[in-house]
Amino acid sequence: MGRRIAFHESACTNCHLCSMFCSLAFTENRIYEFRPSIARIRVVENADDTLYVAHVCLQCEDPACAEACPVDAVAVNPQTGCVEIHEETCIGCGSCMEACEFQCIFMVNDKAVKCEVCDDPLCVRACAAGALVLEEWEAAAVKKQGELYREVPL
Amino acid sequence: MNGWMGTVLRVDLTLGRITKEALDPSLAGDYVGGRGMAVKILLDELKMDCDPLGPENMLIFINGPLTVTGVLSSGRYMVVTKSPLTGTICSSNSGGYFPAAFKTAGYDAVIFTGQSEKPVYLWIENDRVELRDARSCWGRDTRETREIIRSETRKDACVACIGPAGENRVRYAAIINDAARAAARSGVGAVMGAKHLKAVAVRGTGGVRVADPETLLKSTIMADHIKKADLGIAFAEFGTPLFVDVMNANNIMPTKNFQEGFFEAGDEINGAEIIDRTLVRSKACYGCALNCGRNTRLPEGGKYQGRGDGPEYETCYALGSNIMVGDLEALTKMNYICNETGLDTMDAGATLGALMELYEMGRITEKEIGFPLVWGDADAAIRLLYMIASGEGFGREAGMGGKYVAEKYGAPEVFMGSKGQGFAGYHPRGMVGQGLLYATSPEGGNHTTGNTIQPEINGIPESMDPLSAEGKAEMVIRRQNETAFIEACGVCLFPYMLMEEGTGIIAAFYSAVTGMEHSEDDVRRIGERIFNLEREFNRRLGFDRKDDTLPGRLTHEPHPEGIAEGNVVPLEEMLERYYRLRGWDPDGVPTSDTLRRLGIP
Repeated sequence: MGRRIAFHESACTNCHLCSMFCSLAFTENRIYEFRPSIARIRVVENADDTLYVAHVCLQCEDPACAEACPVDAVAVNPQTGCVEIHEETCIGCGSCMEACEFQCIFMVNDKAVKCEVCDDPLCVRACAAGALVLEEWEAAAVKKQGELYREVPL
Repeated sequence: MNGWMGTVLRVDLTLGRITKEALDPSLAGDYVGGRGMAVKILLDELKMDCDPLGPENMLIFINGPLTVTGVLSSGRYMVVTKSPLTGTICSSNSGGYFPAAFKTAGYDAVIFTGQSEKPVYLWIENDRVELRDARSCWGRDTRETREIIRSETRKDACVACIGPAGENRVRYAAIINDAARAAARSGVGAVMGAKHLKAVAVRGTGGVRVADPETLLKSTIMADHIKKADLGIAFAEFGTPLFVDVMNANNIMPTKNFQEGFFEAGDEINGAEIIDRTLVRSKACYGCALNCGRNTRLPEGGKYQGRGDGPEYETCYALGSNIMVGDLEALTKMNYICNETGLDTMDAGATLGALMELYEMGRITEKEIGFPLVWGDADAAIRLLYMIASGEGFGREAGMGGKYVAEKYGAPEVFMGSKGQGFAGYHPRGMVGQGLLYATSPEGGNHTTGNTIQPEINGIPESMDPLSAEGKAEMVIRRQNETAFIEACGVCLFPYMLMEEGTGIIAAFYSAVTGMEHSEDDVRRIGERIFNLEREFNRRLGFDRKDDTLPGRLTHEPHPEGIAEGNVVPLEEMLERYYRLRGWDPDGVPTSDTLRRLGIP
């Protein structure tokens, strides 16, 4: 397995700088804009306002999203270990989104999108709180982060 | 347009009519946004002598070109209107998450006019905008209102609303967004209440275009620097209540209605005490790396119960030292009550301070209030806060503000504010420039139309004698102009006011977002234009030198302790120089040359 964006809840301040800057990396045609609604990372707080959680793909080893895709657009990249969505193949049916129990896949312009781990992720650069870190994939940490996502859904 | 959304929403509440219009690019270029663009709109369109609580007043929600652009602390909006508290222009500022949703819904501003017959709220979901019946939440507190509106719209809607205080037109009612952030000052919530506008709820999924993303990426590096600098670390750890220690150490913590400058129980209500006793965790507004917000909860089994945000420093002063309450849990409870009922903690404190002094003087008694009101009695203060919000009994009078009660009960000198608005928590006898700033602020006692803490107390950018008039007119003018520009941009003052090179940074960010190159001098000049336009607004209503005053307590009663012992604010001396440097005549009116120089028609 390769690298992934690890999220450390205790450091998060709910500032959303990650999703703001993530969106900058995905603006098209050299029209640069901050559009958090297209970000591949989304922040949410629980009802008590005691937990702040950034949902970002865990890069599962055996991803349910890939399993669920009817057109095989979702697959693990064997080189990087990242779960990737092939944009042209994606039909925007939302099956992967529904299959992801961690809520880390989003629909943007009728296509499924998710974090595929940029080379120099802007979300990590933007996170002055130090809650987001580029880490090597490690099962125990991924499990813990997944449990947090179940506890605080989007 | 880069930075601006290019659309202004107009809502005529009388007719229930919603229209959209294109933003005038020259208006944006000359006045930027926030209080700058709003004062220009008001000056052009408002019937100046209108009753602030009548249908003719206009209420403007407005963000700025830098809101949601990744620059430091870019998640703020302002509410601008003619104030029912002061009768002047006012601009009340708030953070949280609402401002970002408001802007990404596609609007630079929403301009409300008229008055709805029935209570309504405005629901904005990108380009879909509608007025909805607010019967379900009218009469409810701000937390309940947010929940009700979210259940009627979307669970992720951001809500800015008033509580009972705004509905009852308390002259210092706030607009609360995201449950705990407040556009608190100058009675903007009362204007909403008078218009029968309960809330504005928004969902926005649009984007903000920027010209030069490379420069904006540096913002994250800068945020990192701030986090690692001494002040940044202290700020993130203790939040604004860290100022309790700073003010107390310098004998400028307003205490007992500004009679004193040192609060003995200061270390019971400071940042460290909050961490020990009530803090759940610190939190940030949208797009901010400073996380000065305090997410708190009152301990189980204690006398007071509840959860929410705060207190911030200004509340530690206003409802703490100013009324001699040194019990953190009582102070926190008062903060929660203000957030839930929709009151400005600062003018609530200024009013309570005046009332407690009137009570001590025997000018007002148990007979009028219904119970004793002695210094430090938190339970009496809590009882009165509820009465103020609901308009019950004596609460109706107290809800008119500190100036009103001080005059009514024959001791106008006990109101600690200017132009009818209570001061912020910086005692001008120990930092006289702040006194000049309060006296000349377009909206009276206020800490966001400029603040002199950095130059006068912390020596940034260079140290100056806090007790001397020397250099103060120049410094105050500079701070006021810079602040006006920063606030027009739709960002938070904190990072830019705290950093030595803040003005250069905001100029660089403004250039990067808009693609229009602006130097430090350029942005100061825009700030000066905005400040003068606000002055012009007030002048048309008859405000001039006679209103640029401070209470006699600050100008004639010597400070009792510390380095400022024996000092008073030399206001007249500073004011004369200030007017001259501003290019105003001896009555404090901008000369025609000055207006022409600034491009004000």
